[in-house]
Amino acid sequence: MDDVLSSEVVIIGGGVIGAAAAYFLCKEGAEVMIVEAEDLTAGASGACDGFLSLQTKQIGSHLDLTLESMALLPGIIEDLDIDPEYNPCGGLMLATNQDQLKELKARAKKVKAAGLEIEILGTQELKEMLPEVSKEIKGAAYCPSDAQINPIAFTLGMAQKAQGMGAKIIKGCKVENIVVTNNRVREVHTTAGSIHSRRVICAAGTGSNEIGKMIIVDIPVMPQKGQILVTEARERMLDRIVSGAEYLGTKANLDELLPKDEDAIRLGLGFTAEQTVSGNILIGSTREFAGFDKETTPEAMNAIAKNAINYLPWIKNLDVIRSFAGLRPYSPDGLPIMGPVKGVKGFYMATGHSGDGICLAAITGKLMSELVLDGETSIDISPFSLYRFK
Amino acid sequence: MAFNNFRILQHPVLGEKKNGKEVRIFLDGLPIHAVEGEPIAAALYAAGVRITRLSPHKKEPRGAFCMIGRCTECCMIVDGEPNVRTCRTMVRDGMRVETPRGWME
Repeated sequence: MDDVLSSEVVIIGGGVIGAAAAYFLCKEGAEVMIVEAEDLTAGASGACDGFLSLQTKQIGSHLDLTLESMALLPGIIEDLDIDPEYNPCGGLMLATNQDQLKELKARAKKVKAAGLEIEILGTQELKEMLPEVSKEIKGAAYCPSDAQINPIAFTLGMAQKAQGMGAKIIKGCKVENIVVTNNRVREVHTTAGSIHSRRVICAAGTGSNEIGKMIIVDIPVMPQKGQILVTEARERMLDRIVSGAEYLGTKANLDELLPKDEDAIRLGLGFTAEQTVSGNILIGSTREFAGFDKETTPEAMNAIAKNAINYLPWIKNLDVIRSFAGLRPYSPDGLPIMGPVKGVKGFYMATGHSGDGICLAAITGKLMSELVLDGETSIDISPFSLYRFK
Repeated sequence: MAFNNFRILQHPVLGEKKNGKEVRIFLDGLPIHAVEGEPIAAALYAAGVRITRLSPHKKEPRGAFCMIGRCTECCMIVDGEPNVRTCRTMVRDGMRVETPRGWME
């Protein structure tokens, strides 16, 4: 390559995190280049559901970060030219037995103390909100702040807006090496040539581990597979996002709420359902470790469908028209990995968001802009430091 | 029946058409003759009906395309049930078939 590219900031990864970082950096007038190995939303951001679920977050820094992110959302959405189908619909988490309900109640108390409104519903109140719920459901936790969004439209919307403010997006461009001299990032070598840059943000999701190797840093992000079924489009049947208590158990690794069935534990099975603006219902999901394998499996699809009928019996009358799997950038404790790297000035991490990337993108983008341009953040991000694992 | 000649009475591979029982289905309230054992889409085709639905957003006409249950272009409302693939659903006497006219309200 003869042309020598350069940019004030290079963002590795064109998913929801990279797009959000580019959006916020451009707002501050920075010169930004996104390098994306495949295409925008080719990874986890394009193979997930649209849950913006606050009540499934870990109490503490994780939930605080989520609340900050949700507060930023309406402003961003107002600003986008693509409608991201944001719907502040509220979310229900269903309990299939009394033990689960007790657990949800205990958790609701703590969540409330942490500043998130949540309400425990008995069977009668639940029926009013979700009339055709299974008779086996003993109650639910209702979080009015839960919402849904179209993750692909959201990502593309932010990327497009950033582009409008001067960001360059190079697709099909794989990062091959990162040159560090005198403890500072200098250059990013890619399949599209070298890019001179003194600031690099790693928003590579499941590819972050590979990027870390280039600067000899172990970024403990692993691909975690999630499978989802898509039904035919129907008239409005679900007004809210709905999940099962076992989903929370699997997601936050809470022993009390884990499924009892051995196969379900192995698959990381947890019920989720949401109806998109197009009318299709997305039914989830699994949390499996299968390397970089993105295939859907008959076993998981079967388990997801059977599980869903336990919560919403009418779902069995719908045709499943598609299924897909996505790889979440799993971090060992489920919390994102954000911040600088020791000994490599100008390298910042914004990865490991696990299943919360869509939800946390807004605040991650804002924090990255602050960190890269000002060197400090408005919120303490030390709980998300890479060095918490040591 | 004017359009009955769309039914293949003598097929080079399948041989002579077996005579099934005549039944009656209703398309948007209008009676249509059908033969037991044939899919709804086939009965509609034989009756000269080419439009099975209007597309959700632009409300453009669509018709049965693949006839093997893959393309979903032939989806109609059958006895109140939306999104029924009429090429894969056999006729039944008295069946009520409706043409979906754009996105369901």
